[in-house]
Amino acid sequence: VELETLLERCRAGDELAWEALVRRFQGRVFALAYNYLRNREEAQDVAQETFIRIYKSLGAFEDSERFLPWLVRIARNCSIDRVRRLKVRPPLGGDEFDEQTVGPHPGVGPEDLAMAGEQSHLVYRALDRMTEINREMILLKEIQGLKQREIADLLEIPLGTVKARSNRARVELARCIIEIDPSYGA
Amino acid sequence: MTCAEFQECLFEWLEGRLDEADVERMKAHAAGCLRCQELEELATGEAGLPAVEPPDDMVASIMAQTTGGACDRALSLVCERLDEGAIDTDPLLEMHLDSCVECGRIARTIERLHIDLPAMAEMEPDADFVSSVMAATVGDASAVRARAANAAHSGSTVAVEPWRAKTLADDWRDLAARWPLIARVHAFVERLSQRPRLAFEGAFVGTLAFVLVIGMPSAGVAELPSRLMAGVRQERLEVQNAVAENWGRATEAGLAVLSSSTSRLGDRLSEYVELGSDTAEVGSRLTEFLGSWRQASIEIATYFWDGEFGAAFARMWRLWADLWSGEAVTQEAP
Repeated sequence: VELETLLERCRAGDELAWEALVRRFQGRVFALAYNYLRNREEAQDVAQETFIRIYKSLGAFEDSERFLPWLVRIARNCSIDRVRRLKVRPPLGGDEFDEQTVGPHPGVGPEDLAMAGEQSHLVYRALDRMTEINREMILLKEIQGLKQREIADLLEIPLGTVKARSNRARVELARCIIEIDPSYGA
Repeated sequence: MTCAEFQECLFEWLEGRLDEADVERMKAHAAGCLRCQELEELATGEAGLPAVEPPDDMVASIMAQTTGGACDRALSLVCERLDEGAIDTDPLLEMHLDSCVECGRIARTIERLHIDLPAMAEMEPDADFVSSVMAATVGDASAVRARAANAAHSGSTVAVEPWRAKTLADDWRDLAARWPLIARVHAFVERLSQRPRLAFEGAFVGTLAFVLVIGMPSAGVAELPSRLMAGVRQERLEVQNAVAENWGRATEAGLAVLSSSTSRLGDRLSEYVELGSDTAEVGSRLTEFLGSWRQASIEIATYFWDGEFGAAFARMWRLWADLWSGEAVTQEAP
């Protein structure tokens, strides 16, 4: 089913369409939240919060072209809110949350590493070594596939800055990866 | 021909710019002068000098001293090429990537990441994720499916209510339905606030009221400024007297409470050291100690308030009340 049709039926109150929409985007929202929080339970909670917010504002949303950036924006805001809250009040007996940044969280839990593929593991380790700004740029542009204009709108920075920052981020990530595993780009 | 003349004309000769007579003179000199003959062989390449390769880092050092290196430019071109999905390659870029090992490796890594990273855009949440989202938004997912199945069975389209997320306006409507008076007041205020000249009207009415109250000689508050001045003078004296009388006693009392609390703190600290790692016990002792500090603060506050200060404040309060009612106008400060 086309996204536009799905959104239209959602707005008309069709619960099946809403369920289909959640199914279609659950992986993306969950991955995004996980990239910021690096904890499955927290990420799942944030993903649910994201969908609840989307559900509440779906009536006012019309442009299906802009749905993905809109979804990423909401998921990002929810994730950053949660990271801030966890910084203030770490979860009881949970994974170690020693946030130093509001951006994607450095430090991968061992349980999660087992679940991620070998390649993702390598990329996550490299991402952890990067600066916060560059890490977020990789997450939004290279992983989530947002366009440069959409990132500029989301982060409220000029398009030229996005271009320059995105190139720097890719070079930094490549250097980090080569440092960890020189055979990756060989 | 001298050697100096020969050397001066050597390159003109090799480039064929000399006339025949001069060429003959050059040849004659070279035949008789061994040094000039060697020079001619060197210039024409007949001497068979070995080929010299420039040092490996020569290009890099020249770049470092001029434009500052082309690696950044090359890598940003690699990124732009990926962004634009361009197939054509820039031969200069390829030349750089072939010659610069570091850039070549980074470029290959960036290209591979460009293929690998999009696969990380999605991650599978737990199996019950969709049901929990459905429960938190439209209700139970199984109920939704059952309703859809019933609708399909009865041949009708899916029974749906128009989609509507609850907004602030909805909350307000609910409130207004329960309390009609609030709704009426709200509507009145809203209508009033939408009048274009509301600010001017308000200012006009306010000014008028002020002039009427203060400006009229018979008004009850016309003498208020003189009464206020008398009151301020009286009050300042009251406060000064109270402070002078009680300052010494208050300081003594404060110091006594502070020293007793500090000695108690010392006792408690030594107890904690003895308790060592028994954190629960330390916690309870700490709570007890904080309680005693709180008690001390209350004692100090009570002393000040119940003592002379409280009485001074009460007197000031009465004075203000009298001033307002007009009885204190006659009490001039000494």
